[in-house]
Amino acid sequence: MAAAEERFKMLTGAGFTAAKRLGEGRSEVLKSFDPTAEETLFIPRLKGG
Amino acid sequence: MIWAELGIGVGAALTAFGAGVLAGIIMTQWRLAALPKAAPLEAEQKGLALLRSWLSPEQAEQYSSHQYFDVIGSDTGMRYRIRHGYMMNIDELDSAGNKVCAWCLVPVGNLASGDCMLAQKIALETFERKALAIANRGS
Repeated sequence: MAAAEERFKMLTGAGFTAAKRLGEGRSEVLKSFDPTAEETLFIPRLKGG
Repeated sequence: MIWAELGIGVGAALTAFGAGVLAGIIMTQWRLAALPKAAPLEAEQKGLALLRSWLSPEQAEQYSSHQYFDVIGSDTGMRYRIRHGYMMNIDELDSAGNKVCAWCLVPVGNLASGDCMLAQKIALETFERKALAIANRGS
């Protein structure tokens, strides 16, 4: 679990946006590590194309 | 248990992991940050599988039938249509379902199409205004 939290901090610190799935297609952006999240997705920085 | 899958080489672009109570890191997906323009078939397939797992049943049905799915903006309640693709694939729709304009919003790195569409979906559904402030608008 500590490794997961460390990884969370590393990726969000590098500019990734963390999101967790809430079910039924809904998701929520995570501002801090959530140990209860079944799955956390890290999205790279977005840019206009 | 740690399950990690390396795409082609090193570099994380779209990464997912779960922090289950017992399992610690359940899943980690790595993708190469600088994939070629057309992502390898395997990366494409995995990206689409990940996308489908995050879609609502209605969105999944739409995507299966039409290769697009609709999302509702978190701040304005506007409807957007995300078409299969990488860029310039977001249409803003009016209340009648007509296209108002197109938006281009892409994650940094040449990701698989499923990863791009998933990033676009989450951005519009959770931080719409911030995302559109970054996006380029087209006709």
